[in-house]
Parts: sequence; C-alpha cells; structure tokens
Amino acid sequence: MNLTISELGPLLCDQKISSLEVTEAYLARIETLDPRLRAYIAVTGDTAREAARRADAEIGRGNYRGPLHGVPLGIKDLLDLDGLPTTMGSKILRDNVAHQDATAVRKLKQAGAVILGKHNLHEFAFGITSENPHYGTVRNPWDLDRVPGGSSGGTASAIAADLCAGGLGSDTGASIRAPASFCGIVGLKPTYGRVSRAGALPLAWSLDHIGPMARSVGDCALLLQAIAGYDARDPGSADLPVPDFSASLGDGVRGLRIGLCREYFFDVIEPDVDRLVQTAIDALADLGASVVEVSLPHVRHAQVAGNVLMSTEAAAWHATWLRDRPDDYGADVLLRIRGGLLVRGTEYLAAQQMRTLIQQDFSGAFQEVDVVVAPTVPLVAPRIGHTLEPSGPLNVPARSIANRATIPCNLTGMPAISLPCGFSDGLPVGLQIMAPAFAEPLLLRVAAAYEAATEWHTRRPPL
Amino acid sequence: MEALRRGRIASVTELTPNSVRNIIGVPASEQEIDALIAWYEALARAAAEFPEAELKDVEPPLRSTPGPGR
Repeated sequence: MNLTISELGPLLCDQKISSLEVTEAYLARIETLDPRLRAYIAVTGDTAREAARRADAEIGRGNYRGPLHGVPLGIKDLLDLDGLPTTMGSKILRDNVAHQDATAVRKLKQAGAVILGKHNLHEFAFGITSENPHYGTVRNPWDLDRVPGGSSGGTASAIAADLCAGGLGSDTGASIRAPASFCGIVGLKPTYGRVSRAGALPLAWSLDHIGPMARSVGDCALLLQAIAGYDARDPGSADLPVPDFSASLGDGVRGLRIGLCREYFFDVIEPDVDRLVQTAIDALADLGASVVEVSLPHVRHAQVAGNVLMSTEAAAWHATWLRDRPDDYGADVLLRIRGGLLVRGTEYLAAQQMRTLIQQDFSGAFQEVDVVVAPTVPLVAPRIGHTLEPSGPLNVPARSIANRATIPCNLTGMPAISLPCGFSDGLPVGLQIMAPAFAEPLLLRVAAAYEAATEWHTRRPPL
Repeated sequence: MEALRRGRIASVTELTPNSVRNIIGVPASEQEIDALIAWYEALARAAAEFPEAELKDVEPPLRSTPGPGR
C-alpha cells in the first residue's frame, strides 16, 4: 500500500503483484479504518474481487490495457454504478438503483480499473463539510475531529487514508479542490465539457464538473486520460480532441509566466495559508517561472454570482422534493436549496452576466500569463460541528469563505487543480493553479513541476 | 437596505413571512421562514453590489439552440 497509481501500474503490468492482492489489501484497510472515517457509503467487495481476478487473468494473457488496469479506485456516490443505488448522500435517493454506469465510470472500467465502492459526500453535493446526516460525518484522516471538506469529502478522505488508490469526484463550487486541499491530496477540476457528466446526478447544471482525485499530479493525469472525451449523452460535452495529459509533465516551468492576483485571492486568508502559498509561488519562481501580477476586477463578485446560480439551479432540480419531502433533507441543505426558490429571474440573469465579466477578466489575464495561482481554500480544515460559527485566525464561519477562491473557475469553466503545498499545525494546505480552457496539459505541467520540487504529497496521515 | 432599494436587484423588503410561505408552498416553522429570509437577504444584498452599468454591456452566456436538423 501507500503506492500511487503511477507506482502501482508497472507492478501490476509486470505481474510483480496481483490486482487481487492489492484489492484485498484495500478492502482489509477499509474494514479497519472506515468505521471511523465514514468515507464509503457502499463497499462492493465481491464485484471488486471479481474485477481484480479478471484483470489479473487479462494481464497474465498479455492483454494489459494500460496504467489503470487492475488499479482499485472509488467513486463519489453521485455517479451511477450499474446495480447500486446512487444516493447522492441523501435519504431521498437511498433506493435510487442505477441501471447503467455513468460515462466516466464506464470509461474507468474499460481502462481495467477495479471499483471498490461508492464514497460518502455532503448531502446532495451541496456543502463543503461532508457532515452527512444520513450516512455519517466523514472524518479528515489528518485530524478525526475535523471535516475533510466537501462535497467530495469521502473520496478525499479515502484517498488520503489509503482506502483506494484514487477516485472520481464532482466540483460545482469547490467540491473536488476544497477536500483535496483539506486532506492533502491532488484534485483536478477539468474544463467544463472535457469530462462527461452523463450518469452523474446534478447539483447545478451550468457549474457541475466531474474530475479525478488522487495522491499525485501524475495520477490525476492518468485518471483524466481515461475519462476525458466527447459524449453525446452530456449536452455540455465538448467535441474536441483529447491530448496526452502526461506528455508534458516533465517539461518544467522555465519561461512560463505565473499570474498572481492579490486583490481577491489573498485578502481573506489565514496567515499560515498565506505564507505557505507565497512560499510555493517562490518555489515556482526558483524553478524558472516569472511571477506577474494580474488584475481580475470582477472576480470579487464570483462567490455571490456562483451561489445565486447554484441555489437557483438546485431549486429547479429539487422542486418536487422540496414540496413533497422537505422533512427528508438535512437542515443546512434544505435552507440553501429552498433559498433558490426565492431568487428572482433577474437576479439569476445578473449572476450569469457576472459570469461573462469574470470570463473577460480571465481572458485578459491570460494574454499576460500562462496560469494563475492562488490558495485553494483560505483556511485549513475546520472542526466538525463548528463550521457555521466564527472560528480560526480569521474568526469567520468556515462555510462562508470556503469556496471563494475556487468558484471563479466553475463560473468560467476553466480547469483548476489543487495540490499540497505545506502544513499548518499538522493540517494540509492546498495550492490552486488555474489555466485557460482546455489547457489541462499546461495546468498539469506546472503542478507536476511544483510537486517534483517538494515532498508535501508524500506525507501520510498518522492513522 | 439602501443598496437593495436603489439596485435593480429585487428588494427583500417585499419578502414577508407569508409571501415566503406562498413561494415554498409547504408548511414551515417560523424559525425556518426567518432563516430563509435572512439567507436570501444576505445573498440579495451582496448581489445588489454587482456593477449594474457594466452588466448592461454584456449578455449572459445563454443561447437559443437551433434544434435538431433533418
């Protein structure tokens, strides 16, 4: 265990270890640790073993499918897995059995991956804590009294605790990147349209993204390679060629221009997070990149615009349940989704117009720089049960600021990645890198250069 | 509240517990209604700070679609 996908793949390919052995090891670790972490809603041990045996047989016959063949993964429980309920972390969908795989899941299976089970999440993917009233509060492996982030909290917790080698999450405002930051792993929100959302239940159609979460940048590149591509089942899917996401991982950052927007991303931030992100930017400069200040004047409205869109679109999707089953929601999620019923059409459209202005800001910035860097979340993982009250060095409710640095990329659709850049009192801190639409190879290249120069991603929680 | 009154964004002063009850369409406690109004008021107040003059110059990213061909 403790191996990344990139390390595990060659061992499986060379039959130095079998997929069944690796799968059994993960299942045993899940059995030991998951009662405390609550990272899984469902563990599919028997089908995982069956898939592992099939992978071993295929590899033994010389039919190696590629770097995910025989690798045990987990998926967030808002993606359909044929034969299992897709609960979205809710009571309402407890019996919502899927009859086919989500496109991204089907692609993982086609790549030979072994699916260990479905990960817990914030109810209906609408929140950043993963304190789930129906399936248990997911714990942060770095400190069991703290949240793992959300909504893909189960996926992040499972990966950090070595309960799977990697997984798939979704991100509507922060939900891949914030838990990646809080749990000390890597999370990539691809460009809108790069990965199919077919078979993934929606939170907000215009903001939802499916993407990979793993222990290294290279692993995220491998997962993205498997799941990217056009899909007619997703009306937002982009019919564009899929590049080789691993090809430029070793190209470094010499000559690249790193954009820094101090006016928004660094004005509300815990001092330790600020220090660690600044140190990471210095490291990129030491590796040969130039750091250029950029202005994004409208980005300060991103959080409000994003929250207007998210609540309104969610209210539209939930309308019948809001009427028929309001008692089956957790209180925090019911408030935000119901709140969307109060938002007026003009407010929704004004938020959409803000989206255009923010896109124009980034478009201008990318004339001057190649990527923009920022903290992923301005704080470290808050304590369970205390995310709605002022706390921490900033003395603000964690929930009120957790998505402020991530949601701009949901509005613009640009790809963004979070990777570990240090620790504050034993808690991970994430560096966020944002790139122009469909420039995932560049994004991964910058992230890989930073990762190769540091050792933060190699640390493991003391479980 | 001044920002709400002068803004193009809806004024929360129009929201009353009864109007909220009508909008959500199901029984809700006074506490739930108060929380909803407070939630919306905070969001609407922040949205009223959007730069109105600049918004007039841009279209929202919404498009009519041509529909299926033959």
